[in-house]
Amino acid sequence: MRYQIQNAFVHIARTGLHNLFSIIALAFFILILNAFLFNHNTLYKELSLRKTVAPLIAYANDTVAEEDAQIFADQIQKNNNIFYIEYISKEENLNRAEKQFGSLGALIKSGYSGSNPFPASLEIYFKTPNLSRKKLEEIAYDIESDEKIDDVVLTGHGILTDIYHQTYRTTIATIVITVIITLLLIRASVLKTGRTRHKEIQLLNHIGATRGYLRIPFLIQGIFIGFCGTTMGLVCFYLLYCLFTFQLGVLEFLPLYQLTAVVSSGMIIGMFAGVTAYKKYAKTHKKIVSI
Amino acid sequence: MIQLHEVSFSYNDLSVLERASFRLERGEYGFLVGESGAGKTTLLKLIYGALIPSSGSLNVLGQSLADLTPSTLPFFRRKIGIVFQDCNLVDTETVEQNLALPQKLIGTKIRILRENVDNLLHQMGLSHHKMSKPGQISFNERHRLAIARAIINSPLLIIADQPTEPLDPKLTIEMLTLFDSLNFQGTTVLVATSDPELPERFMSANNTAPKRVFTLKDGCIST
Repeated sequence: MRYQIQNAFVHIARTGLHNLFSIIALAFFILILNAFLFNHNTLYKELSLRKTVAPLIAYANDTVAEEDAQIFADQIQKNNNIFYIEYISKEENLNRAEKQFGSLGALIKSGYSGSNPFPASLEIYFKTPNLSRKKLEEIAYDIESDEKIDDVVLTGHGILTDIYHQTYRTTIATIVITVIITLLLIRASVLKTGRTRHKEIQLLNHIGATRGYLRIPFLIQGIFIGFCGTTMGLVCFYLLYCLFTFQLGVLEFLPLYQLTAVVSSGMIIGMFAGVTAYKKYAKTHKKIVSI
Repeated sequence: MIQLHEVSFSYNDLSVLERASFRLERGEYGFLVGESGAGKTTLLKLIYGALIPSSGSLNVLGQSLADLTPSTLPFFRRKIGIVFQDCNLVDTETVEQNLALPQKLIGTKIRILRENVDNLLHQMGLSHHKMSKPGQISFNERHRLAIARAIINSPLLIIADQPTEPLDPKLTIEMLTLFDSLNFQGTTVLVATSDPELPERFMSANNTAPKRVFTLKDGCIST
């Protein structure tokens, strides 16, 4: 095994420029993938934080009594999507404003000559946590059509959910594309090295090299390029992250499990590319490898 | 040790061997003489399993070649030392690395490998070219290196495809004498040559025991 590893690295060095190009190209694609993963993670985290915020808030007319508002809440709760509705009275809303705005809240109160300008509201939570904006708008339109309701506002949950779903789909597509590109890049490099070793492989086969002995340098090279490419991509992304940290604020870097997954996937894909490269080589030079 | 029984082989429509038979016993030293293009290389390739005969049976080192599988073939080949017609050296590797290839294949420990390589390089007069590439050494030296590589694993059988053809007469006798000394230790040797007088010349120059001579002509082998 020692000789095979040694041999593999000698040949990696021999076709060094080609391998370097593959590693850089792979790093570039990993950098893009990381950007998508980062974006996805940030949105996911933001969405998780928003779970405590109601996606829809319906403001009741001032003329509606609390009992009527409660009855209305019970009626619309029959909608399958609604998990529960929290009734917030005018006083509670005023208290919240005072808490939120501090002395400004008292100013608002005094501006209205002591009367409460805040309406009672219904905070609506859904069974499905991440409903699309379109669905929320449909529900909001239904609720707003009732005369007891003055206005219905979307808290931005729906937009965030839509963006998250789009990012999720794009990230998945990027992962698929990156996997294919990684596979093709590594396979091309390993095949190139295989071709430069052609005479040696032919000789080794004639003097008693087993298939495993011939195959292992292909696998090692695949794993090596996969490892270097993904690691270089991650390092570049980390440097960019550090460079822009002051702009990104509190956004966290990719979690350890994702970093490990990216690198180990690169190595596994590299190994797989090595296997396919060997198969291709063996198929092209059937007489050399199989006889 | 090597037994061919009515072996035929053809490249597409071109028949090279037609029901050829011969037998070289264990520990014997044989010459396979034939004109250029007579099929010597083909016959040697059949012996180490690089080609498959169209018909007939081959038995080498007590192993029927028909029974070999892709997984057992490499281990069979490791028992044979092959000197290729064109040397078949890896130009990108040094002389030392070329010589070490068969030892690496069988997983020889690095210390023993270095020792074996150094000894053989010294024996073959190639020590000063240890770090040279095959392209940087002379034609004679390339052939000596190819022979050294064939014998480094102490094979049971050595087959040499016209190893002495490009060598000068003195070196030719020296190489054949080297094979003779290995043969004396029990290794079976089969040397292919297009020079019909080489066996006689070698035997008289070396004053050695008579060797078996097989003549390959028109696809048939005669003793």
